[in-house]
Amino acid sequence: MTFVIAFCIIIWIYILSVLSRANLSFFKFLIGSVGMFIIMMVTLQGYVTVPLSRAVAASTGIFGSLTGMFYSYYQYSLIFIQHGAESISLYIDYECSGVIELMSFSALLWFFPLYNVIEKLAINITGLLWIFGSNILRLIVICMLVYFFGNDIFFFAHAIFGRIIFYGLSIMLYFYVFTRPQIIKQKVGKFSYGIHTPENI
Amino acid sequence: MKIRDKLAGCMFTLFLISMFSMPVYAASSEGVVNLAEDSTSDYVGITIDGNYDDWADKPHTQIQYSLDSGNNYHLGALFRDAEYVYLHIKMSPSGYTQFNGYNYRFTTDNKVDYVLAVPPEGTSIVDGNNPLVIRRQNGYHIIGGASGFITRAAGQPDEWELSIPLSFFDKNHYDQIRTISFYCSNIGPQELIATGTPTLPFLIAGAGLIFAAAGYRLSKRKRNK
Repeated sequence: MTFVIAFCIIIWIYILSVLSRANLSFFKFLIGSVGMFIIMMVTLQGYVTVPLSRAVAASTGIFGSLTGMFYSYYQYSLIFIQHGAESISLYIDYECSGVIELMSFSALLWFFPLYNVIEKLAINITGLLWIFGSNILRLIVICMLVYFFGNDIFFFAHAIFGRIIFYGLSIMLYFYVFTRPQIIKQKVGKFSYGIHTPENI
Repeated sequence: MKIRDKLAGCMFTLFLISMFSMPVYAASSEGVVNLAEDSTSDYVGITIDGNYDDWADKPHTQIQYSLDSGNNYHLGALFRDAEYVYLHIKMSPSGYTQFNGYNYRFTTDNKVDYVLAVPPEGTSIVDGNNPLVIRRQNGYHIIGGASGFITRAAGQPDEWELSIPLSFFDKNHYDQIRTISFYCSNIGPQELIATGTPTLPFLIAGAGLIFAAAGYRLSKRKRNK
């Protein structure tokens, strides 16, 4: 298995170098970012998921403990919400931990042909914190809704409301990192509000 | 930017992601955990052996009928990992204190299965630890891989634990089970629910790719003008 992965990585790097020499920059970006994402998922996701899910549970639990609304058992990646006689245990598994979002954002960023290395480092740190924070916010909202309205609202809280918050914040990040700079960095010619010299009148 | 720089960037990313968990380990009484030893299949840390210490640090729900007095409640906990679902019940110290293993209803993503927990044929429950056999209620077949123990002591309420492999509920797609709930009308009206809250992460990853590709195309078009 290790040999197959190593072989795939070598092939991937070779394809990138070919695309680079051929000046096919869009395909280099596409294959580079997707390939990097897959490689990270295959090789490192297993190592990162459990500590990250514990960190998400622990961070969410801070708010819960302060307000007394829910409690985190972070060693089990678990958040426990008690509402009257009802209770629900939320497990933070790899699909809830945000590991896929963190890796996909980073893979896209490092192959995106706009920023220099220093800018990418800064954006990477900010972006990861943003995604991590968004996930915490999503879970806090879900827990609060369950706490106040009971288990019956869980589906709405998780599948609709929580996801709207998380998707909204994620798309905002993607827009500000990948799309908006194209508008800002666009050169539209030099212009000024001018000084009213006689030759300008 | 060279490929070498991009690879270095990705390594840096992994370092950052790993750093998120550092405060957790710093606060953990277990000390530093070797990441390579972690797996999603055993982090619950429950062994079905009639020793209940491994349930002590896990959250329990009070199970009682509204007619019962405030002190007459049973304690129940439902846990899961990648392979098994675990159940722990401790009966009320007063009132209804004896084991009941009938009509256990497990609901996995809207699929309902009824399960029995009974002593092995020809045996009965005596003081001390007693093994339990876990059977499918419909057909009375033994569930392979499931196990249980009940503990009885004089003057004490009965306490038992059991585990059932998730493959019993969905043989082919047990790794995709999201929500498991337990309910037993013989014990109380409360339902114990263990669930995940997935973000549909590949949807966001796909959206990110579209945004980045659109941004790239936009910049390329402007550069060509």
